[in-house]
Amino acid sequence: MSASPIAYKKVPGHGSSAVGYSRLYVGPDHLLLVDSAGWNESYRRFYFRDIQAFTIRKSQWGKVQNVAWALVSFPTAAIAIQADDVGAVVAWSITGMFLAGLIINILRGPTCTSHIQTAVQTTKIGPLKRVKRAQKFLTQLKPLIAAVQGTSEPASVAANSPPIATAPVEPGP
Amino acid sequence: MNVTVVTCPNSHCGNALPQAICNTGAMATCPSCDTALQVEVFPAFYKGTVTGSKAETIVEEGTSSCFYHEKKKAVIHCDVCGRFLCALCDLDLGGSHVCPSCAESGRKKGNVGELETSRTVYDSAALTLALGAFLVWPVIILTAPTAIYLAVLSWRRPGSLIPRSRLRSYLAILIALLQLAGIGFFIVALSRET
Repeated sequence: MSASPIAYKKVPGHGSSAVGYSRLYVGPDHLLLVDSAGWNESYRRFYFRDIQAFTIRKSQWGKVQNVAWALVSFPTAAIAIQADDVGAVVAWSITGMFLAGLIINILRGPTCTSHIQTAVQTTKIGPLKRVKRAQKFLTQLKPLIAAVQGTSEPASVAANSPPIATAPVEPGP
Repeated sequence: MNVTVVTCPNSHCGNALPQAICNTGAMATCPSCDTALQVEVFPAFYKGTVTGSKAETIVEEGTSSCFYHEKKKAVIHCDVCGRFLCALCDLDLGGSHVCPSCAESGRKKGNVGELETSRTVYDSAALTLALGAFLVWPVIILTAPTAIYLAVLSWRRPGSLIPRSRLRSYLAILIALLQLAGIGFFIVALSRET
């Protein structure tokens, strides 16, 4: 039983929901997903020994955000062109903010949804919403898992494993 | 439920993924729905479900027995209470071996980090209350003392599993004190007017 606090290292990024946000931390032998909702925190642990798969699925949400930033920029830019003096300054400032949002969103790269699969669950990892960040995290995660599970060279595992696509799925309860 | 396949994370697809697109280190395409994805499969996937140990029945006289199952052979002792345990009763918690009773009492007391699934973070509660009171300002006279109480409580109670500073509680106390001072000032000003 551990009495001393575990040293966690925060993974950049956070997921958000209607009632709070979620963050991901790396512990000595597990990942900790913290969902904060007001004054309550709920925890989910993914031990390195249990993680079976990590998936990154590219999503279209980033493109939708780009379109939204561009759409809100047009009316203010149009107003800025037609306005004089103070009105033009205000309108250009607002347009600039919207365009900055667009540029930042483009620079952050495409969006994604990430999932961790264990023997009993597949969980969406909210904080990993960008492909670049998720891939970087996966690169950091692989040696940690390899230290516990061993290497996952396809040649070594293929010899005593069923093909992924034809493995049977046990029915749920 | 035992997950024994890696499926496409696209909720509209969900088909099993072929091994060819796994562990490539780059984005690939799901053959069923054309979704761009990257899949990393780890050795635990191929090991399948790990079954628990089976407790051995005592066959020789004089062999230590489990505290909870007198006919089962003791294989280890509880690191907390020292009771002998069979393989069935031995719970491995972060490298420590504990009996179900100690694990349960530890879970209730909140001193077994591995078993905790949620915590109330009083410093966040105090700060939320102190800031939220601005939206419903007539109740500040109630919320400000409560925020101070919660902030002080957060120093004594276990906080978030993630170690963090006391900034939230200090801020909550500061805001609550300012709110109380504001109310006092308002009351004094009102009494002077009347």
